[in-house]
Amino acid sequence: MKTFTKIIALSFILSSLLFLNSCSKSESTSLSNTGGSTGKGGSMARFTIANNTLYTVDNATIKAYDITNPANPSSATAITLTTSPEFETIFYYQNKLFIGSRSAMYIYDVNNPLNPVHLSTYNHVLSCDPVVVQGNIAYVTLRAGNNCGRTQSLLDVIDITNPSNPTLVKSINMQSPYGLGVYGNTLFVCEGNNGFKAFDITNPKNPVLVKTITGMFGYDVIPLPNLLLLTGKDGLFQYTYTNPNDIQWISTIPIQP
Amino acid sequence: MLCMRTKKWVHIALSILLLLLLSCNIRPQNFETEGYKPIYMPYDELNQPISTQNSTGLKNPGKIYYYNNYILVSDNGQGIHIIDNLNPANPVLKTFIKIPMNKDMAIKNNYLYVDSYKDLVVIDIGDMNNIKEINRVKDAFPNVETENALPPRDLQSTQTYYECPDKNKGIVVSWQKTKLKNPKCRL
Repeated sequence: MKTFTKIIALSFILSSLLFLNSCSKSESTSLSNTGGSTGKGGSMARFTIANNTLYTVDNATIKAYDITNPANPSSATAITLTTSPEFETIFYYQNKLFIGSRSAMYIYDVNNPLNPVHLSTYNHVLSCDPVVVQGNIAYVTLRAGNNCGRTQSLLDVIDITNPSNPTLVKSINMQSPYGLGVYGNTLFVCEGNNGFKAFDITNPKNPVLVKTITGMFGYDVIPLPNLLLLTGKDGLFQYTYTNPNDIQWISTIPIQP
Repeated sequence: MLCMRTKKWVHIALSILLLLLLSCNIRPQNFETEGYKPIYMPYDELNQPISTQNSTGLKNPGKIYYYNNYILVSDNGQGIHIIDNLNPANPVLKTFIKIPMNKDMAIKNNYLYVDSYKDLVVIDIGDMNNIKEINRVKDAFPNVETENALPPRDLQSTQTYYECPDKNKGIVVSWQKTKLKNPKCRL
Protein backbone atom coordinates (compact mmCIF):
# COMPACT_ATOMS: atom_id res chain seq x y z
CA MET A 1 0.00 0.00 0.00
CA LYS A 2 2.81 2.38 0.99
CA THR A 3 4.70 1.79 -2.24
CA PHE A 4 1.49 2.37 -4.21
CA THR A 5 1.01 5.84 -2.64
CA LYS A 6 4.66 6.55 -3.25
CA ILE A 7 4.29 5.66 -6.95
CA ILE A 8 1.18 7.83 -7.25
CA ALA A 9 2.91 10.74 -5.48
CA LEU A 10 6.01 10.37 -7.64
CA SER A 11 4.08 10.23 -10.89
CA PHE A 12 2.09 13.28 -9.78
CA ILE A 13 5.31 15.17 -9.11
CA LEU A 14 6.81 14.02 -12.39
CA SER A 15 3.79 14.99 -14.46
CA SER A 16 3.57 18.40 -12.81
CA LEU A 17 7.26 18.94 -13.50
CA LEU A 18 6.70 17.98 -17.13
CA PHE A 19 3.73 20.36 -17.28
CA LEU A 20 5.81 23.20 -15.86
CA ASN A 21 8.61 22.42 -18.26
CA SER A 22 6.28 22.49 -21.27
CA CYS A 23 4.95 25.84 -20.04
CA SER A 24 8.36 27.42 -19.84
CA LYS A 25 9.23 25.93 -23.21
CA SER A 26 6.25 27.44 -24.96
CA GLU A 27 7.05 30.74 -23.26
CA SER A 28 10.62 30.76 -24.47
CA THR A 29 9.57 29.91 -28.03
CA SER A 30 7.12 32.78 -28.08
CA LEU A 31 9.88 35.03 -26.72
CA SER A 32 12.40 33.97 -29.31
CA ASN A 33 9.86 34.70 -32.03
CA THR A 34 9.90 38.32 -31.01
CA GLY A 35 13.67 38.30 -30.61
CA GLY A 36 13.54 37.64 -26.86
CA SER A 37 13.07 39.87 -23.88
CA THR A 38 15.50 42.74 -23.57
CA GLY A 39 15.43 45.78 -21.36
CA LYS A 40 15.95 49.46 -22.03
CA GLY A 41 19.19 51.34 -21.49
CA GLY A 42 19.91 55.01 -21.02
CA SER A 43 21.29 57.23 -23.77
CA MET A 44 24.82 57.12 -22.30
CA ALA A 45 25.05 53.36 -22.99
CA ARG A 46 27.88 51.83 -24.98
CA PHE A 47 26.02 48.48 -25.15
CA THR A 48 22.75 47.81 -26.94
CA ILE A 49 20.86 44.68 -27.90
CA ALA A 50 18.72 44.36 -31.03
CA ASN A 51 17.04 40.97 -31.52
CA ASN A 52 19.88 38.44 -31.48
CA THR A 53 22.77 40.87 -31.65
CA LEU A 54 24.72 42.63 -28.93
CA TYR A 55 26.44 45.81 -30.15
CA THR A 56 29.26 47.44 -28.20
CA VAL A 57 31.35 50.51 -28.89
CA ASP A 58 34.80 51.10 -27.52
CA ASN A 59 36.75 54.21 -28.50
CA ALA A 60 37.27 53.44 -32.18
CA THR A 61 35.66 50.00 -32.53
CA ILE A 62 32.09 48.82 -33.10
CA LYS A 63 31.52 45.13 -32.33
CA ALA A 64 28.52 42.95 -33.16
CA TYR A 65 28.13 39.68 -31.20
CA ASP A 66 25.66 36.99 -32.21
CA ILE A 67 23.76 36.09 -29.01
CA THR A 68 21.26 33.64 -30.54
CA ASN A 69 22.66 31.42 -27.82
CA PRO A 70 22.64 34.12 -25.13
CA ALA A 71 25.01 32.33 -22.76
CA ASN A 72 27.64 32.16 -25.44
CA PRO A 73 28.28 35.32 -27.48
CA SER A 74 29.92 34.24 -30.71
CA SER A 75 33.12 35.91 -31.84
CA ALA A 76 32.32 39.41 -32.93
CA THR A 77 32.33 41.28 -36.18
CA ALA A 78 34.54 44.29 -35.53
CA ILE A 79 34.67 47.59 -37.36
CA THR A 80 37.59 49.77 -36.38
CA LEU A 81 37.85 53.33 -37.60
CA THR A 82 41.36 54.58 -38.18
CA THR A 83 40.36 58.15 -37.45
CA SER A 84 40.03 57.46 -33.64
CA PRO A 85 36.60 59.04 -33.42
CA GLU A 86 36.27 58.35 -29.66
CA PHE A 87 32.89 56.62 -29.74
CA GLU A 88 30.91 57.35 -26.61
CA THR A 89 27.33 56.14 -27.01
CA ILE A 90 25.23 53.77 -29.13
CA PHE A 91 21.48 53.84 -29.84
CA TYR A 92 19.51 51.34 -31.91
CA TYR A 93 16.38 52.40 -33.81
CA GLN A 94 14.60 50.56 -36.63
CA ASN A 95 17.51 48.63 -38.13
CA LYS A 96 19.96 51.46 -37.65
CA LEU A 97 22.69 52.25 -35.18
CA PHE A 98 23.27 55.84 -34.12
CA ILE A 99 26.68 56.30 -32.57
CA GLY A 100 27.69 59.43 -30.70
CA SER A 101 31.35 60.41 -30.61
CA ARG A 102 33.51 63.39 -29.74
CA SER A 103 33.46 64.64 -33.29
CA ALA A 104 30.38 63.33 -35.07
CA MET A 105 27.24 61.22 -35.14
CA TYR A 106 27.67 58.02 -37.19
CA ILE A 107 24.72 56.18 -38.74
CA TYR A 108 25.05 52.46 -39.63
CA ASP A 109 22.54 50.22 -41.36
CA VAL A 110 22.09 46.83 -39.65
CA ASN A 111 19.52 45.15 -41.85
CA ASN A 112 22.17 42.46 -41.91
CA PRO A 113 22.66 42.48 -38.12
CA LEU A 114 26.21 41.15 -37.97
CA ASN A 115 27.43 43.36 -40.77
CA PRO A 116 26.86 47.06 -40.00
CA VAL A 117 27.12 49.24 -43.10
CA HIS A 118 28.14 52.87 -42.75
CA LEU A 119 25.49 55.26 -44.10
CA SER A 120 26.67 58.67 -43.01
CA THR A 121 28.77 60.73 -40.64
CA TYR A 122 27.16 63.89 -39.33
CA ASN A 123 30.23 66.01 -38.71
CA HIS A 124 28.70 69.17 -37.36
CA VAL A 125 29.24 67.96 -33.89
CA LEU A 126 32.42 68.67 -31.98
CA SER A 127 31.71 67.91 -28.36
CA CYS A 128 30.60 65.24 -25.91
CA ASP A 129 27.42 63.30 -25.63
CA PRO A 130 24.66 61.16 -26.90
CA VAL A 131 21.88 60.76 -29.43
CA VAL A 132 18.32 59.38 -29.31
CA VAL A 133 15.93 58.86 -32.21
CA GLN A 134 12.17 58.84 -32.72
CA GLY A 135 10.49 58.74 -36.10
CA ASN A 136 12.59 60.70 -38.59
CA ILE A 137 14.28 62.90 -36.02
CA ALA A 138 17.52 62.44 -34.07
CA TYR A 139 18.06 64.52 -30.93
CA VAL A 140 21.70 65.11 -29.96
CA THR A 141 23.07 66.98 -26.97
CA LEU A 142 26.37 68.81 -27.32
CA ARG A 143 28.06 69.78 -24.09
CA ALA A 144 30.52 72.64 -24.02
CA GLY A 145 33.49 73.12 -21.74
CA ASN A 146 36.44 71.10 -20.44
CA ASN A 147 37.45 68.47 -22.96
CA CYS A 148 34.39 68.82 -25.11
CA GLY A 149 35.81 71.37 -27.51
CA ARG A 150 32.90 73.79 -27.78
CA THR A 151 31.84 77.04 -26.24
CA GLN A 152 28.04 76.78 -26.52
CA SER A 153 26.02 73.81 -25.22
CA LEU A 154 23.24 72.77 -27.57
CA LEU A 155 20.39 70.40 -28.26
CA ASP A 156 20.48 69.67 -31.99
CA VAL A 157 17.41 68.47 -33.88
CA ILE A 158 18.50 66.50 -36.95
CA ASP A 159 16.27 65.25 -39.76
CA ILE A 160 17.26 61.70 -40.70
CA THR A 161 14.48 61.00 -43.23
CA ASN A 162 17.37 60.28 -45.57
CA PRO A 163 19.84 58.56 -43.20
CA SER A 164 22.59 58.94 -45.77
CA ASN A 165 22.22 62.68 -45.55
CA PRO A 166 21.23 63.95 -42.08
CA THR A 167 20.31 67.63 -42.00
CA LEU A 168 20.19 70.04 -39.08
CA VAL A 169 16.69 71.41 -38.47
CA LYS A 170 17.14 73.35 -35.28
CA SER A 171 19.60 74.10 -32.46
CA ILE A 172 18.43 74.97 -28.98
CA ASN A 173 20.74 76.52 -26.36
CA MET A 174 21.28 74.40 -23.27
CA GLN A 175 23.14 74.87 -19.97
CA SER A 176 25.15 71.66 -19.39
CA PRO A 177 23.40 68.79 -21.17
CA TYR A 178 24.17 65.09 -20.59
CA GLY A 179 21.88 62.13 -21.37
CA LEU A 180 18.46 62.39 -22.95
CA GLY A 181 15.41 60.26 -23.65
CA VAL A 182 12.27 60.41 -25.72
CA TYR A 183 8.84 58.84 -25.26
CA GLY A 184 5.70 59.83 -27.11
CA ASN A 185 5.39 63.59 -27.11
CA THR A 186 7.97 64.20 -24.39
CA LEU A 187 11.70 64.71 -24.72
CA PHE A 188 13.71 64.71 -21.48
CA VAL A 189 17.18 66.26 -21.43
CA CYS A 190 19.53 66.02 -18.43
CA GLU A 191 21.28 69.27 -17.53
CA GLY A 192 23.96 68.14 -15.06
CA ASN A 193 24.00 70.47 -12.04
CA ASN A 194 20.92 72.17 -13.46
CA GLY A 195 18.61 69.15 -13.10
CA PHE A 196 16.63 68.21 -16.21
CA LYS A 197 14.27 69.72 -18.78
CA ALA A 198 11.12 68.41 -20.44
CA PHE A 199 10.27 69.45 -24.00
CA ASP A 200 6.97 69.06 -25.82
CA ILE A 201 7.71 67.46 -29.19
CA THR A 202 4.17 67.29 -30.58
CA ASN A 203 5.94 68.84 -33.55
CA PRO A 204 9.04 66.62 -33.51
CA LYS A 205 11.09 69.19 -35.44
CA ASN A 206 10.35 71.94 -32.95
CA PRO A 207 10.85 70.93 -29.31
CA VAL A 208 9.21 73.44 -26.96
CA LEU A 209 10.59 73.74 -23.43
CA VAL A 210 7.74 73.38 -20.94
CA LYS A 211 9.31 72.33 -17.66
CA THR A 212 12.63 72.58 -15.82
CA ILE A 213 13.14 70.51 -12.69
CA THR A 214 16.17 71.31 -10.53
CA GLY A 215 17.61 70.18 -7.21
CA MET A 216 19.63 67.21 -8.41
CA PHE A 217 22.42 66.36 -10.84
CA GLY A 218 20.91 64.96 -14.05
CA TYR A 219 23.22 62.51 -15.83
CA ASP A 220 20.98 60.07 -17.70
CA VAL A 221 17.31 59.18 -18.09
CA ILE A 222 15.11 56.30 -19.18
CA PRO A 223 11.55 57.33 -20.05
CA LEU A 224 9.17 54.36 -19.72
CA PRO A 225 5.41 54.55 -20.26
CA ASN A 226 4.33 56.99 -17.49
CA LEU A 227 7.53 56.47 -15.50
CA LEU A 228 10.78 58.42 -15.74
CA LEU A 229 14.04 57.10 -14.25
CA LEU A 230 16.88 59.57 -13.70
CA THR A 231 20.38 59.01 -12.31
CA GLY A 232 23.20 61.31 -11.39
CA LYS A 233 25.69 62.05 -8.65
CA ASP A 234 22.87 62.53 -6.14
CA GLY A 235 21.09 59.21 -6.61
CA LEU A 236 18.23 57.55 -8.47
CA PHE A 237 15.09 59.65 -8.93
CA GLN A 238 11.69 58.53 -10.24
CA TYR A 239 8.80 60.55 -11.61
CA THR A 240 5.42 59.73 -13.07
CA TYR A 241 4.36 61.73 -16.10
CA THR A 242 1.60 61.84 -18.65
CA ASN A 243 2.90 64.77 -20.68
CA PRO A 244 5.78 67.26 -20.36
CA ASN A 245 3.61 69.59 -18.28
CA ASP A 246 2.62 66.98 -15.75
CA ILE A 247 5.68 65.47 -14.04
CA GLN A 248 5.34 64.24 -10.46
CA TRP A 249 8.21 63.13 -8.22
CA ILE A 250 7.54 59.78 -6.56
CA SER A 251 10.77 58.44 -5.06
CA THR A 252 14.51 58.87 -4.52
CA ILE A 253 17.29 56.52 -3.56
CA PRO A 254 19.91 59.00 -2.35
CA ILE A 255 23.62 58.28 -2.41
CA GLN A 256 25.32 56.99 0.72
CA PRO A 257 28.35 58.95 1.92
CA MET B 1 104.56 58.06 -15.14
CA LEU B 2 103.20 58.27 -11.63
CA CYS B 3 102.51 61.96 -12.13
CA MET B 4 100.56 61.28 -15.32
CA ARG B 5 98.38 58.77 -13.52
CA THR B 6 97.57 61.22 -10.69
CA LYS B 7 96.72 63.90 -13.26
CA LYS B 8 94.34 61.49 -14.96
CA TRP B 9 92.61 60.74 -11.70
CA VAL B 10 92.30 64.41 -10.86
CA HIS B 11 90.70 64.97 -14.25
CA ILE B 12 88.22 62.16 -13.73
CA ALA B 13 87.37 63.37 -10.23
CA LEU B 14 86.88 66.92 -11.45
CA SER B 15 84.62 65.91 -14.30
CA ILE B 16 82.52 63.76 -11.98
CA LEU B 17 82.19 66.71 -9.63
CA LEU B 18 81.26 68.96 -12.54
CA LEU B 19 78.65 66.49 -13.76
CA LEU B 20 77.18 66.26 -10.27
CA LEU B 21 77.00 70.03 -10.01
CA LEU B 22 75.42 70.29 -13.45
CA SER B 23 72.81 67.64 -12.68
CA CYS B 24 72.04 69.51 -9.48
CA ASN B 25 71.33 72.58 -11.54
CA ILE B 26 69.05 70.68 -13.92
CA ARG B 27 67.04 69.06 -11.18
CA PRO B 28 67.80 70.05 -7.63
CA GLN B 29 67.41 67.36 -5.02
CA ASN B 30 64.03 67.32 -3.29
CA PHE B 31 62.45 69.10 -6.21
CA GLU B 32 58.79 69.36 -5.22
CA THR B 33 55.82 70.21 -7.42
CA GLU B 34 52.08 69.79 -7.88
CA GLY B 35 51.27 66.76 -9.98
CA TYR B 36 49.37 63.51 -10.30
CA LYS B 37 49.97 60.10 -8.82
CA PRO B 38 48.37 56.94 -10.22
CA ILE B 39 45.76 55.04 -8.20
CA TYR B 40 46.13 51.32 -8.92
CA MET B 41 43.95 48.26 -8.90
CA PRO B 42 46.10 45.16 -8.33
CA TYR B 43 45.84 42.40 -10.94
CA ASP B 44 44.51 39.78 -8.50
CA GLU B 45 41.60 42.07 -7.65
CA LEU B 46 40.98 42.84 -11.33
CA ASN B 47 40.93 39.20 -12.41
CA GLN B 48 38.51 37.94 -9.79
CA PRO B 49 35.26 36.46 -11.12
CA ILE B 50 32.21 38.57 -10.34
CA SER B 51 30.56 38.14 -6.94
CA THR B 52 27.45 39.43 -5.19
CA GLN B 53 27.09 41.14 -1.86
CA ASN B 54 24.46 43.06 0.07
CA SER B 55 24.02 46.52 -1.34
CA THR B 56 25.46 49.19 0.90
CA GLY B 57 23.75 51.94 -1.08
CA LEU B 58 24.51 54.04 -4.15
CA LYS B 59 27.91 55.72 -4.07
CA ASN B 60 28.62 57.12 -7.52
CA PRO B 61 25.64 56.28 -9.76
CA GLY B 62 26.29 56.24 -13.49
CA LYS B 63 24.51 54.41 -16.27
CA ILE B 64 21.06 52.86 -15.86
CA TYR B 65 19.18 49.94 -17.37
CA TYR B 66 15.56 48.88 -16.95
CA TYR B 67 14.45 45.25 -17.18
CA ASN B 68 11.22 43.56 -16.03
CA ASN B 69 10.52 45.81 -13.02
CA TYR B 70 14.18 45.90 -12.06
CA ILE B 71 16.46 48.92 -12.33
CA LEU B 72 20.17 48.34 -12.73
CA VAL B 73 22.48 51.18 -11.75
CA SER B 74 26.18 51.06 -12.49
CA ASP B 75 28.23 52.40 -9.58
CA ASN B 76 31.15 53.90 -11.40
CA GLY B 77 33.86 51.28 -11.73
CA GLN B 78 32.69 49.15 -8.78
CA GLY B 79 29.78 47.11 -10.08
CA ILE B 80 26.01 47.11 -10.53
CA HIS B 81 23.17 47.62 -8.05
CA ILE B 82 19.99 45.66 -8.72
CA ILE B 83 16.91 47.52 -7.54
CA ASP B 84 13.49 45.89 -7.22
CA ASN B 85 11.13 48.48 -8.71
CA LEU B 86 7.83 46.62 -8.58
CA ASN B 87 6.57 49.60 -6.60
CA PRO B 88 8.29 52.69 -8.08
CA ALA B 89 7.25 54.74 -5.05
CA ASN B 90 9.32 52.42 -2.89
CA PRO B 91 12.28 51.00 -4.83
CA VAL B 92 14.32 48.43 -2.90
CA LEU B 93 18.07 47.87 -3.25
CA LYS B 94 18.22 44.10 -3.61
CA THR B 95 21.80 43.19 -4.29
CA PHE B 96 25.11 44.46 -5.57
CA ILE B 97 27.14 42.65 -8.22
CA LYS B 98 30.81 43.45 -7.73
CA ILE B 99 32.39 43.92 -11.17
CA PRO B 100 35.86 45.48 -11.32
CA MET B 101 36.10 48.43 -13.74
CA ASN B 102 32.50 48.13 -14.92
CA LYS B 103 30.70 50.84 -16.88
CA ASP B 104 28.12 49.28 -19.19
CA MET B 105 25.37 46.69 -19.26
CA ALA B 106 22.57 45.17 -21.33
CA ILE B 107 20.19 42.24 -20.74
CA LYS B 108 18.54 39.63 -22.88
CA ASN B 109 16.45 36.72 -21.54
CA ASN B 110 17.95 36.94 -18.03
CA TYR B 111 21.51 37.09 -19.35
CA LEU B 112 23.28 40.24 -18.26
CA TYR B 113 26.19 41.42 -20.44
CA VAL B 114 28.73 43.69 -18.76
CA ASP B 115 32.22 45.00 -19.31
CA SER B 116 34.89 44.38 -16.70
CA TYR B 117 38.02 46.23 -17.79
CA LYS B 118 38.95 44.52 -21.10
CA ASP B 119 36.53 41.59 -20.79
CA LEU B 120 32.92 41.06 -21.83
CA VAL B 121 31.27 39.02 -19.06
CA VAL B 122 27.99 37.09 -19.28
CA ILE B 123 26.07 36.84 -15.98
CA ASP B 124 23.02 34.64 -15.35
CA ILE B 125 20.44 36.67 -13.39
CA GLY B 126 17.60 34.16 -13.87
CA ASP B 127 17.66 33.49 -10.13
CA MET B 128 18.26 36.79 -8.35
CA ASN B 129 19.38 34.85 -5.26
CA ASN B 130 21.99 32.97 -7.20
CA ILE B 131 23.57 35.42 -9.64
CA LYS B 132 26.60 33.88 -11.32
CA GLU B 133 29.17 34.49 -14.02
CA ILE B 134 28.76 31.94 -16.78
CA ASN B 135 30.99 33.16 -19.57
CA ARG B 136 33.76 35.62 -20.33
CA VAL B 137 35.09 36.94 -23.65
CA LYS B 138 38.67 37.95 -22.89
CA ASP B 139 40.09 41.19 -24.32
CA ALA B 140 36.83 42.29 -25.93
CA PHE B 141 37.72 45.94 -25.21
CA PRO B 142 41.48 46.25 -25.76
CA ASN B 143 41.33 50.06 -26.01
CA VAL B 144 40.42 50.44 -22.33
CA GLU B 145 44.11 50.10 -21.54
CA THR B 146 44.86 53.53 -22.98
CA GLU B 147 42.03 55.27 -21.10
CA ASN B 148 43.87 56.08 -17.88
CA ALA B 149 47.40 55.78 -19.25
CA LEU B 150 48.04 59.51 -18.77
CA PRO B 151 46.83 61.98 -16.14
CA PRO B 152 44.53 64.86 -17.06
CA ARG B 153 46.48 67.74 -18.57
CA ASP B 154 46.70 70.84 -16.40
CA LEU B 155 45.39 73.59 -18.64
CA GLN B 156 46.84 76.39 -16.47
CA SER B 157 50.46 75.28 -16.62
CA THR B 158 52.63 74.41 -19.59
CA GLN B 159 53.69 71.06 -18.17
CA THR B 160 51.92 68.49 -16.03
CA TYR B 161 54.17 66.38 -13.79
CA TYR B 162 53.18 62.88 -12.77
CA GLU B 163 54.55 59.84 -11.02
CA CYS B 164 55.48 57.32 -13.73
CA PRO B 165 53.07 54.35 -13.49
CA ASP B 166 54.56 51.05 -12.32
CA LYS B 167 53.03 48.18 -14.29
CA ASN B 168 53.89 45.73 -11.51
CA LYS B 169 51.46 47.45 -9.16
CA GLY B 170 48.41 46.81 -11.35
CA ILE B 171 46.32 48.90 -13.72
CA VAL B 172 45.82 52.63 -13.29
CA VAL B 173 42.17 53.34 -12.44
CA SER B 174 42.46 57.05 -11.77
CA TRP B 175 44.85 59.92 -10.99
CA GLN B 176 45.08 61.86 -7.77
CA LYS B 177 46.35 65.42 -7.59
CA THR B 178 49.09 65.66 -5.02
CA LYS B 179 52.53 67.11 -4.16
CA LEU B 180 55.26 65.09 -5.87
CA LYS B 181 58.95 64.81 -5.01
CA ASN B 182 61.30 64.50 -8.00
CA PRO B 183 58.70 63.28 -10.52
CA LYS B 184 60.34 61.60 -13.51
CA CYS B 185 57.38 61.87 -15.92
CA ARG B 186 55.67 64.88 -17.39
CA LEU B 187 53.24 65.83 -20.15
